Amino acid sequence: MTWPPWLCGLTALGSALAVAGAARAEQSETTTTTSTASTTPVDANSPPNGWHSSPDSPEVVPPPKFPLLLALQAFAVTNKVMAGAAGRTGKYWGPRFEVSLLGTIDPVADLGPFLGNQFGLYIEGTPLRWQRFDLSAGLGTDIYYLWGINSDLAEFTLAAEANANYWVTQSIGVSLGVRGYPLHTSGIAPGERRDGTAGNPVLISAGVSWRSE
Amino acid sequence: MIRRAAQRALRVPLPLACTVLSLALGASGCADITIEKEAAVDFQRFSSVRVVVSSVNSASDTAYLAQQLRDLSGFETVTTVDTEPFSLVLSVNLTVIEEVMVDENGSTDSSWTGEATYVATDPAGVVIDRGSEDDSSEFNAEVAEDVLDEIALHYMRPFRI
Repeated sequence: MTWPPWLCGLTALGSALAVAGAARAEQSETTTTTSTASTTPVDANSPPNGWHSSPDSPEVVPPPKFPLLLALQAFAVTNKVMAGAAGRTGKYWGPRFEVSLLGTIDPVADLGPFLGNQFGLYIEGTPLRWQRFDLSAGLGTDIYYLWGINSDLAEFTLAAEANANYWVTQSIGVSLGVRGYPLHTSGIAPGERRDGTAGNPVLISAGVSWRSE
Repeated sequence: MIRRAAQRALRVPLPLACTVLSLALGASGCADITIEKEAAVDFQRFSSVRVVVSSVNSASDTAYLAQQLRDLSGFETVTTVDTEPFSLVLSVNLTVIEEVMVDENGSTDSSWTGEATYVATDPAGVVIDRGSEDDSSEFNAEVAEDVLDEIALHYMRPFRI
């Protein structure tokens, strides 16, 4: 199993934060119970528009006039390096844009290690949005513009994806995404190894996110 | 009430579930995505090609396509003359059309469309491959090269990466 060190680190970080968040959520629940018993709402001490620590707290922060999420992300692809940035607007629905650099750590004859770019365009919805956690799903396209190989070479995919963010602070979080390509052009073969055997078709990404307040 | 109960039930398990899910997905390994270009013809059988472009600028277009094929294609040798040995003849018929648009103020704007049909035959005249390409540009000088680039890309040497 090929397991890149960066994904190990990010997954471990995400796991630790998620577990910490869960523990904090439990602690918050206990606090709420205690406070209710003493008839003092726990939120009374929170600043206006304060950030509730419980992941299912009602969203007291008014939505920003221009909801924006930016992320730096990296993808786990066998024998390749793929990392870049993503942007998302809209509170519950909106477009998501991505751009990544694509290279290979195992180049073949006549081709260099740099392959080109991935450009992603999605329509994404966010059915789950809590204070510390949100989950989005979308449908769109990933375009692999392989100008590192030839300036006229591009491959197109229809992509379904899901992205989750765990917000460590009010505006900084860690993200995890999965995506698959149910349709694609003939020059790209998701779920196929270089030797032609079947492989893993699920593309995982992890990164760091920022959202507007 | 049901909603609150559901929220309470989901409060802790969801982040944990996401963690477990991420670890499970990660444990399945990296995605395997292979980028490939299949050979348009059998480059071992047809290792040399003679290029003939029929166009307004036949000589320069033939030379351009031959150079592109030398740089990009799977052919070992590319020639433009019939005095050298070849195992395939690539005949291209290229036309460039100017489209002139006149707006309501009377000013004109031109664009150029290039269309090419090509056929690859062996020395006996058997058709091995054929196709067509087209492209458009605001510049006359570019459009022919753009179409010929597409043909060269069609015969790109195969790879899997």
